[in-house]
Formats: sequence, C-alpha cells, structure tokens
Amino acid sequence: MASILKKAFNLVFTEDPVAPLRRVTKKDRPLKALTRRELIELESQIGREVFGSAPANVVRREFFNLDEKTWIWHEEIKNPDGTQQEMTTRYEVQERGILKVQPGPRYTYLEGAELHNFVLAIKEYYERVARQLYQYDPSTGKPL
Amino acid sequence: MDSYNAPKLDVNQDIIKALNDARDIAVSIEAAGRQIVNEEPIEVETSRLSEAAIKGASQSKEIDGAPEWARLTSLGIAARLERFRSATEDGKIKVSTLGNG
Repeated sequence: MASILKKAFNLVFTEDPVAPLRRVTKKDRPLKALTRRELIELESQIGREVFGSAPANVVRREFFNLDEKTWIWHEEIKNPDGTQQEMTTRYEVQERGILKVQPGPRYTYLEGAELHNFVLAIKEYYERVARQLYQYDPSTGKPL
Repeated sequence: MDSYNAPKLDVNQDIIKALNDARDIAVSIEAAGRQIVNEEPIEVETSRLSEAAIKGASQSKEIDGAPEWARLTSLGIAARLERFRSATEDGKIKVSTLGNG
C-alpha cells in the first residue's frame, strides 16, 4: 500500500515530499509540450485551491486526479511542537462506489454528505482545471 | 348520452413522490452514462439527484443511486482530463502555466 502511494507521488511530484512543488513555467520547457507529470502537477496547484485557503499550520496540500480511477488528497501539517505530520488519502472509483483508503490501512466507502462533498470537489476541480489550465469551457467542451 | 365516470383513484402521495424521485434518479444516471459514452460535456444538474439520493439513503432504494452517480461522474471527469492531458502532450492544446510563464 505504502509503496503504491510512494510510487504515485514520486511519479507526480519531487522525490522530497517536504519541498514545495516546483512551479512549472514556459521558460523550463520553451519548445516542448508539458509532460503528463507536469500537467498533473499544474492541476494540483489548482486542485489544492478547491478547498479554500489552507490553515497556517498546513505546510503542503495537494488534491489531484492521478488516473481514471484514482484521486489523491495529501496534506502535511506542522504541529505546535515543531514536528510534521502527513496524511495521504486515496479515493478509488470502484463498482460499488468510491472507496476511501487511508493509512493504517483503513477502508471505507463514501456515503451521505462525504460522498456528496467528494463529487462537488471533483466537479469543481474539473471546472477550474478545464478553464484555468486547458482553456476549455467545461460546460460546452469548446475552447475558450 | 351517458357520460363516462372514471373511477376515483386514491393513491398515496408519498408513493407518487417516491416513484417520481426514483424516475429522476434513473433518468439522471442514464443521462450521465450517455454523456460519457458520447463524450458530451458533463452537465451540472445533479444537485436534485444527490439530494434525493442522500435523503433516501437510510430508508429506500435511492441509496443505490448516490454511489453510482458519484462513480459515473468521476469516470466522466477522469476521461475528460485524460483527453486534455493527451491532447496537451501531443501539442494540440497549449496550456496556461498559471501566470508563471
């Protein structure tokens, strides 16, 4: 389980999980299209804003769609004693619904308000990413 | 000429409402599936569906509607994101670098 998450994060983000996300700019790759990893990184910059401003003790927050059936929520929190705590939650789209996988591991299917909020979040993610990153109108599917 | 007197129907309104809600859910799920298959834009008209599904979660078959609605919505969104990513990798879409470029 941990290895899958580590692999996913290493695929998407930097090796050092504490380091802030590198901001991809056109100067980095002036003549090349962005890679999938860079696109997911850019999407996550938008995804983390879906939930509003992070509290002061949140060092890092990520929310992104990893693949067809996986969404990732990751948060790193600085405790008052200076230690850091991190939590990664994976949401798997399965036949029965949305399975939430947390460290432990703990498995629960989303239901009620939590399920509702999850869907609102991924719809908001899509709307913002479509508009802000890919420059497409999410309602018409046409370029802006 | 004798007029036709229709029999008086006395149907419990709660049953009618439940049937209407169930029909709405079925229609919405079918529409979501059709959008995914036809690659149509996702429509944001699911609030009523989710309300009905969540409301009925503890007492009726509508509990089956919410996970299915969530699953279909997620699959549809992921499919669209995948197309955006593929098109960008192929150079067909030029992405904004969020104001940093």
